Amino acid sequence: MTFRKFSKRAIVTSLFLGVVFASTVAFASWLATGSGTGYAKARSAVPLGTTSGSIGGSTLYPGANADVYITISNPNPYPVTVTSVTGNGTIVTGDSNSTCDASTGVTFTDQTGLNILVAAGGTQGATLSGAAHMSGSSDNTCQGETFNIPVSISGSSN
Amino acid sequence: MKRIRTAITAISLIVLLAIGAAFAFAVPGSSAKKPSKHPTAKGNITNLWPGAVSTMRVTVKNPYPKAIVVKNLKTKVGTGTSALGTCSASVLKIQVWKGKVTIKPRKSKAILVKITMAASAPNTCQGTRFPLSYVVKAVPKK
Repeated sequence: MTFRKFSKRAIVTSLFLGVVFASTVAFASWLATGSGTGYAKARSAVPLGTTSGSIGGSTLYPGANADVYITISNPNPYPVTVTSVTGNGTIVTGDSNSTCDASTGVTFTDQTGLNILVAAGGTQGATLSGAAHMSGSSDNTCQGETFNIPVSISGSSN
Repeated sequence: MKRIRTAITAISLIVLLAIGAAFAFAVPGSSAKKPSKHPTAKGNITNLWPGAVSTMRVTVKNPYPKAIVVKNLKTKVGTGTSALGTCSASVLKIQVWKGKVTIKPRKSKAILVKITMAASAPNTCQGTRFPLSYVVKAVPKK
């Protein structure tokens, strides 16, 4: 009687232990989880390039406005929209006419609210309508001269 | 007698659980002396910009003496930092890779994961370095 009671308990215990062992082994052989680390780094924007603004086409004379042409280069691998062009230095003659340079009478009106798209790695020309002005203080030797207008540009990625 | 049987049963149970746990850590087939070995993943990417869609190469290493099949690779992005400040991790989207890549015993293999930087990433994200952490799920090759 005692022997039979022990056998039942032994069978139940064995089955239980067998299930426990099998389940842990089954889990063990099923999934292996690993881990690791790394990083992602964003590049820094490369400044846009531009030629100095130049006055072309329309004639500039005392009291008149004229269009300014600029060329913008974008060395970044993403497109950029230029939103403003502002004057950034003294306007001088293209052939270094020092007499005229002393009093060109030429000014540049800062341009904002622009929407000039420059493709990734691309170059884009733009006309800034009526952005240059010549006043009556322009020296007489400035007749027939071309003027370089230093500008800075700003914009953002799209 | 009854107490002895109870004690033996309890000890057996504890031993079996311990063995099972050891198996779970040692999967598949690594020696019991090195129970903490797991597949590892590492990978970096640079040169991201607003709107960029790039492919990141993540190398997964199999430390086991048996081949494994990688089925899932998930990447978590932390907040980025740069000289300009911090940049939210949300500007980066990294694909949860799912597939089947077999890696031979004690070898490595690269998994390619798509990573995207939002076009709306703010200016402060320039030059930012984002910490990445990987979670790899694999099964033994049958």
